Amino acid sequence: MLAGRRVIEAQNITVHYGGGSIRRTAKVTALEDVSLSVEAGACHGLVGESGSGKSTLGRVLLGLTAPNRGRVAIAGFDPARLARRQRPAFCRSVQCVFQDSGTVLNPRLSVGRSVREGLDIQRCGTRADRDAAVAALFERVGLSQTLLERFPHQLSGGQRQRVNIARALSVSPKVLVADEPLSALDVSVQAQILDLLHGIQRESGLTIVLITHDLKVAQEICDTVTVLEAGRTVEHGRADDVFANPKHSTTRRLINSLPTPKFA
Amino acid sequence: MFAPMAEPLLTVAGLSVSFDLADRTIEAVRGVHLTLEAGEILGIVGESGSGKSTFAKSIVRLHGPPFTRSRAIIGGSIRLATDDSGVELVGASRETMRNVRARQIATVPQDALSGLNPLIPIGRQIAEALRAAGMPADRRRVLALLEEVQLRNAGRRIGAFPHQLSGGERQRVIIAMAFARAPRLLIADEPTTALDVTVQAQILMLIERLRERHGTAVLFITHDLDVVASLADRTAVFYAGELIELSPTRDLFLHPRHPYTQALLASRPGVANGKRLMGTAPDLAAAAPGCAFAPRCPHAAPRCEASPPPVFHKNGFARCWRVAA
Repeated sequence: MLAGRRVIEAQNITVHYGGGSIRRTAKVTALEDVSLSVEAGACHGLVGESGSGKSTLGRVLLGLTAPNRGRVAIAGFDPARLARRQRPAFCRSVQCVFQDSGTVLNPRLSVGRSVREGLDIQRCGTRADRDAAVAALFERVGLSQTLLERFPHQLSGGQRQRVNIARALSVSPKVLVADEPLSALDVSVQAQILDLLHGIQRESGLTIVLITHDLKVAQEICDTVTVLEAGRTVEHGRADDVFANPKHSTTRRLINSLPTPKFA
Repeated sequence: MFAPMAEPLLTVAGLSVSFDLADRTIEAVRGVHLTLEAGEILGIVGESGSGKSTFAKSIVRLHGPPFTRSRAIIGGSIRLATDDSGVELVGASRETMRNVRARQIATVPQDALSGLNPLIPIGRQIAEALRAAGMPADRRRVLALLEEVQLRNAGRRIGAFPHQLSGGERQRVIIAMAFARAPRLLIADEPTTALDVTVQAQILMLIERLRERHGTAVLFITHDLDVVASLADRTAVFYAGELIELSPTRDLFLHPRHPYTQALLASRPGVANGKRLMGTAPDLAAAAPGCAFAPRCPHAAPRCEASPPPVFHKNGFARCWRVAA
């Protein structure tokens, strides 16, 4: 790990939803004064229960939700204030993988085509170069070349999630934001995808922000974690420390809720 | 725990379930034998497509139209012990199945939204469950059930619609419907998969309480091995439509016999240097003559692919040549 070089720096992020002046919806505070910094090449976990704000924080990092207050710097960009001409470069640097592997892929494109699309848009090399790159990406994420021409509905959830990872990696990003990438998958497939993400992080120095409600997953691959509750950071630090000596009652409650064997 | 009755609550013998698709037949469950005692919690684990849900649904016959596109062909026998002699569920009339579902066997689906009618307030749906089981269904009883499952502000929310509740709260309502009829058997199909760990812990506690209060046996289907370890008396492992190992939970976790069970346990997050399960589950349409796990098995020998493995019995069973040797 390249200690010290921070690739993500988020300061005092506050996000409100609702509270519109026309349709007087109730104002909900999704994030309140949350700060985050992640070193290059690290895997950082955002953990917490549903509604704790972890996905909102992921969306802020990706520039999909603009914070009401606070500033984000991610791979040298401010995702809330991107100039139009910066966007292609931002998309090359910051990529995402979501939980629902089915709905994020275009059902009318073969999965090989979906993976190539990012390269097409970014005009990387010739068409032949891009096809070769897609084949190499399939290889890298452990997908058979015979699947290139298949459509999303013809693949299993685990295979589709590999396609999504291949698509995200196609532009060689600096940061990958993965929002519950394992939740819909079997344990055995989870293990394979975890090993895949971990391997990629190690060999290419990718920085990963892993959003998960599964503490065991966070414990396994994260270097550092932030525990969120009701939109606030309750604890953050090195993953080993946080899980071995949880300081905040929320973290302890999450750890104590993990099922323990009857026969222990 | 409850003393075993003379006859097990549920006796499944040679159960097979297949689906006829346009171009091929899928054998989703093949030759499953097992028994379930009254008040027992049996965990059922396996990967997607292993047949664990199909197995459970065949007990209450929740597949075939209108639940799935193609008809399910069920062979073998599923006997449910009742007060008078018992009932055979395979081939039972719709009337019998309706009665069994209303009084004897409750189900908790993964997605509680699909188990609740979106157009009817939750209180009325619980009242409906009570009436179907032939019990009086007044407001006081419904409220008592909602309080039993610890729905917060039950009094104010008795008239709420399913979409106004959180996922955990909806699951509580479904469990209240199970409590309503004090069933002999509860089939819980991944009931906590979509929930936070803290809510999961509370839902698991409710299921245990249902067992304590009413002596309800539970078939608990999940792919989360840690949940099974925390809850089940015995655990069954499904692979490619077959029941490949069944043991007391402690034995299964401490001394897994089948190589597939060993690999599955090693794949859990947090298991350091586990020999991870590689590859993917086989296509159910193309059944191999030998052991279905042989192509992924680190110990596969020629005989494994040639003929089906014998079943090894001792305090449970494993379907493997190596274990038998």
